[in-house]
Amino acid sequence: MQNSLKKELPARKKYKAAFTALWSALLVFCLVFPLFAGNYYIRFMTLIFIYVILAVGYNIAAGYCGMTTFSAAALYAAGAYASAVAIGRYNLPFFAGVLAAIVVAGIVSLVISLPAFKVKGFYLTLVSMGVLEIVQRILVEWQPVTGGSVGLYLPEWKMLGFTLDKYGKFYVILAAMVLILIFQRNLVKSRWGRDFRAIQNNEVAAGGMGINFRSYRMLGFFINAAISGIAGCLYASFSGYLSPDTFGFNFTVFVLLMVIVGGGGTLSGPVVGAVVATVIPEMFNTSPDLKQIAYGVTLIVLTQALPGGLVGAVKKRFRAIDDNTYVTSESRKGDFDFSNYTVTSTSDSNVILDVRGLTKIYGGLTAVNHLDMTIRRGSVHSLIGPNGAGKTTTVNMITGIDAPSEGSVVFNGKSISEMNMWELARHGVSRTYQHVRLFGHLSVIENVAIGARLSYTHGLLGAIFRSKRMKQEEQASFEEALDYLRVIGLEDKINIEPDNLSSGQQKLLELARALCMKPELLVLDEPCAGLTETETQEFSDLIQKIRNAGISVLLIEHHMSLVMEISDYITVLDYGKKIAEGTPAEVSVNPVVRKAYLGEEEEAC
Amino acid sequence: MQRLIFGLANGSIYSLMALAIGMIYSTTGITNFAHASVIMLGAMTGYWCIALFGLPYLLSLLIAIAVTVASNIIIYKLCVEQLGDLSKQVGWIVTTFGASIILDNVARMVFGTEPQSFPYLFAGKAINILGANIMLHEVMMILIAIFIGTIYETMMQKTRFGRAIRAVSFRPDTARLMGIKSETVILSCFAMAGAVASVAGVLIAPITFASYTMTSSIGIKGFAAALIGGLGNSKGAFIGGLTLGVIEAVVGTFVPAGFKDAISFLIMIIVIIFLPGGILSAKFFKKGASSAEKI
Amino acid sequence: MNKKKATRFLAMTVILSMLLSGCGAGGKASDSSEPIKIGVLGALSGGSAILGKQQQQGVDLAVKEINAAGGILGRQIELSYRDDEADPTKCKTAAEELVDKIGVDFIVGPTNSTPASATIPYLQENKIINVMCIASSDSIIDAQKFPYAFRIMLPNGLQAQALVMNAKERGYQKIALVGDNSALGVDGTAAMEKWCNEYGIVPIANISYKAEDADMTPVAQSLKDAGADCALFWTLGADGAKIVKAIERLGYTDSMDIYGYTGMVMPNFRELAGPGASRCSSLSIREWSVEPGGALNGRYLDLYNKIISEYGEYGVGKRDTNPSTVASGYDSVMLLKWAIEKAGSTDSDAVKAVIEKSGAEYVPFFGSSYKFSAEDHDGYLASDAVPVAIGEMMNGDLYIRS
Repeated sequence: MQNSLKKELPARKKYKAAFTALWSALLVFCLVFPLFAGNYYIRFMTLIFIYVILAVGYNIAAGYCGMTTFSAAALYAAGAYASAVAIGRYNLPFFAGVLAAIVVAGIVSLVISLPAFKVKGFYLTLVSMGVLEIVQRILVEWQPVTGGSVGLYLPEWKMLGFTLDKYGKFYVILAAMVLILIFQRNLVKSRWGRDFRAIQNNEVAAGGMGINFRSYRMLGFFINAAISGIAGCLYASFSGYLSPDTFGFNFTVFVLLMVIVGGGGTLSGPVVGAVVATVIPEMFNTSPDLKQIAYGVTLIVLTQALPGGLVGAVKKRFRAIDDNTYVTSESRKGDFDFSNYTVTSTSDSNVILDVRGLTKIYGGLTAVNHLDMTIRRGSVHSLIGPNGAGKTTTVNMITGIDAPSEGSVVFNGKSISEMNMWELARHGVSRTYQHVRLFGHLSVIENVAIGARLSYTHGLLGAIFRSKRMKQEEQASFEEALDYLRVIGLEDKINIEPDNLSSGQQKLLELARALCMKPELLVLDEPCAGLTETETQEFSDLIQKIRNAGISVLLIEHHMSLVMEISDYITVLDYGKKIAEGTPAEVSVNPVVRKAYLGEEEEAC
Repeated sequence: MQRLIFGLANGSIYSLMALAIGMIYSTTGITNFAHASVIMLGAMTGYWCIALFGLPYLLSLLIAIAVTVASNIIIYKLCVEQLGDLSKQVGWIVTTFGASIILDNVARMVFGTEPQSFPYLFAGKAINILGANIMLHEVMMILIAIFIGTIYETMMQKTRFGRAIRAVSFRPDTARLMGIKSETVILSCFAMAGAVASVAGVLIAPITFASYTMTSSIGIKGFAAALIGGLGNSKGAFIGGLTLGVIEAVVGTFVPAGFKDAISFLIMIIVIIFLPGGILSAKFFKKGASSAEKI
Repeated sequence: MNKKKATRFLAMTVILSMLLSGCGAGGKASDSSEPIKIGVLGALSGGSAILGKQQQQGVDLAVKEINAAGGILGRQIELSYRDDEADPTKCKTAAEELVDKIGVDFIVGPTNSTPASATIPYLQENKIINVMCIASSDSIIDAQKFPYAFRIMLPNGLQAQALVMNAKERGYQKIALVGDNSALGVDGTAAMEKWCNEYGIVPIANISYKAEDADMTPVAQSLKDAGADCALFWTLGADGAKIVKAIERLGYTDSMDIYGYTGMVMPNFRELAGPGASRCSSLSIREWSVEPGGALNGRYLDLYNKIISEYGEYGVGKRDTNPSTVASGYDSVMLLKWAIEKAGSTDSDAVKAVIEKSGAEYVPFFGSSYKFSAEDHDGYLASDAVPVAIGEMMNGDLYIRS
């Protein structure tokens, strides 16, 4: 075990060195390219650079955030035309055109994502297709501004007083592409990248971490729009002529293809995808019919041969390159002791959670019926009952996943029944789920470290520019995550994906994640389901430690021995109604409870 | 009145498209981007049988159905099956789009570039209803769409096969455990969708003329119709298609024809905003497109 | 594992070797034993594929003939086709490939107006002569701005003038304009409006629609509502046919005559449009249309027969191209051949001068004569545009004058 640990560190560094060398070589290649290539290839490469930028933008929204939209051409067009009008009609300098491009593309993205606020999946597709049609209509009909379907010529590309020739255009667009690639990298390798991927992997759990997935999606899409707008602006000045027929549905699919074929959700996927999608058809230029067929065949074959895209396939082999850079399994073998952990609270009262008359009605079914429950601070409060009694529904209402039909939930003196999941997380409520909801594409340690996000103070700019504060905060949260992983015994598995853990380990991991959020109230929904006796005992010990650290625990469980052993107070539900409550001793002899669980037996044991 | 009938007739084609899209969606969770091209293929095959080989209408239709069923199965085998778990990735967008490119271009190379006229049912006879000149063909379009929709719905509710489809749609793995061959079910759905495609193709070809680009504008609308009706729900597909046809007819009366599509899309977006699940929110076919799932 | 690695390796090798093979720019071949390279730009796939196909058939036929007879100035012609998919970006990229990489001396095409708009400025920078035989927008021909671009097809402005003049002369009172909202239709209807203005006509309706839309009833309804007695159609083939059919559905056919520009014609218009086609006439090419009961003659008939022997009769499952458009592609190459031989070289300025000064001496296979000059690079004579009925076709693909 120790030997494999020692090998992991050099592997990442080794891969990193190799890939850095590869990218540097490519960069050098691009820099010297114009010196030996003909005019045609210079222009061809420049166009590829623009397409890479488009692909990166789309990748951020679709590959990392899961927003597969069909509006790439609309955003591209918005940027291109906005800058063309600014530069051509109003004689503004080039950078004003860039700004105009970002603003207008951003507006289009808002128009799409605001309705998408409510809709997802295929409905988002419909909205984005509709917007594409509407944008095209505007481009064609708004002739005075856009030149209509006949098209629009732009003046020569001038930047800072210099007129750009083909070399100038090449290098400027190359520089833009490199900057945007760096932006993508810094965004993804920061907590924002983690948050986006969390939303894509498991939206509900992401919400539970305090991520407002709706606004994050809008942000992700806005970034997509801004980058696509920049691409459009570069294209307009580069090409010198715009017409609406360039920006149609086929082009939108082309952008999508680049990202999927290259590998969505990877940093180099857009680059590889753009190159493949433009170069392969290029090879068939001399036979136009064959070119189309070859294009179709390539799409079908490549996607199936390499699911996850070209880069995805490569990455499987070089998995270690994605390992986190902050801690290794051996870092800071500190003296983290749970007993040193203290929890701060915003309120002094004895009662942390007060539930009054909580009711949930689904159609004709009353799942929870006027439940009253009081949880004392620093206690382990269990909620038990037969299957279908309404325990999970109750807990869902408390944690903001469902809205109550009636009744109130008061946390630390504040009413929380109207709050969203992510707002509750900020208030100090965290939970685990009956069916484990880990983030599949984040590593084990990232799954835990994401819990610390609530305490972050650095913003987006800090992430992009790698500010000192960002590095410090990330370092701190990863070290803390490692501590938690030590407590649950997973410190030698920090960089693997959670799917590779056993189900018991996964549940522990979810617990560690919830703890990393430093909650005041920890809600556990059947944490021991499917665990072995030993694992259950481990869990029991942990819960004790958690309680002793000052965290209040609301526990749903079926393991009676566990419940009796660690609970301070128990509420019993049946058919949505509270049928009994009290200390373990009281509840265990309560005849109503025995009847509900064990049937008609009336004898005490 | 005439506009209304024409709108309903167009809408019935959208309904058939939406139905076929729903058939595939309900068992696989994907939409077949090549569907519009398959419709075109059916129409072109029918045209060639009638015009080139002089075969009778019904026989040509059967041949066309055979061709589109086969091509849909091929599309499934080559473009979808290999992808594995479809809910976890979007590669099917790329592969089905690739299939549509191939179909369109092969059609162009084989069938030529010029649009051709396609025979109407009942030789284009028209009758007069309430002062409007209505073609029997258009009435048949509506009736045939209703007929196919009803058969499909009956099959889904009453037959064993229909239950199998519903089972696979809901939980493919469990269905497999219960002895239902998911693969066969999915394949059958693709085949059925292919058959419906041919019917839609020969019905719309007289209006759009038969050419390799005949479905370029309709493709997206079939998809949109499926969405506003609620994906995967055959009643919804129907309502969605007819609604879209009527919206277009109404919009076309008030707005310059160039804006018709844009305005129709706008209306659909507004509908979706207020009814996120579609007009008839799909009850048990909700695969993937749901808000925060219950745990 | 092997498949993935192999694919990746293959892709990288291909990419690198392609890029490296681009080392060095291609130059124009001026050596007398080298072939003369002609590039052809046009839509060969997608919705406009018929245009590219027609151009291609004509060009192929001409080049085959010329090469068999010894070429131009003793040099064989080498053709390079590129499909621009009617997309401006792709057209410019293809043009760059033809000019920079392959080093063509001349270009035929593009077939569509917006790709032409995107590409022609670049061709001027590189002094490449291009001859267009299909794209008809007024904005792509300008002897001052685009000195090396020539066209042998009737341009939109002249057609619009002919249509409006014709309508005025026939005394219609309520003239409606119909066009789609693509670059084509917008340009055409704008030209028609301009000439209406010049002739003091106020159109009672200006109706636009989306190309290839399935439902043309709104257009027909607007015409009926306006009570038009004459409609000027700037529609492309199938769209026009759909509108005519819709007009018939509304029972308005007998109340209105329809005159369309050249794009409206297609061989099976009658079949697609229905009986309403008898009220339609269009502008067409004089030399490629026949008097009722008559036939083509002279060199046009010869070319027509060559087209049939090369590409077959017109019909389902056979040739589907329009012979006059094929002839225009043929003529593009023939014009270049004549001009190169007269100039004695392939130098663009020399050839340009020949076309401008002596263009009228050339004996065309498409029009009757071309009127090129230093100020006018649109060769087609307005008087060569004649109205033709599109109800009947002779031989299935020739227009009968009305």
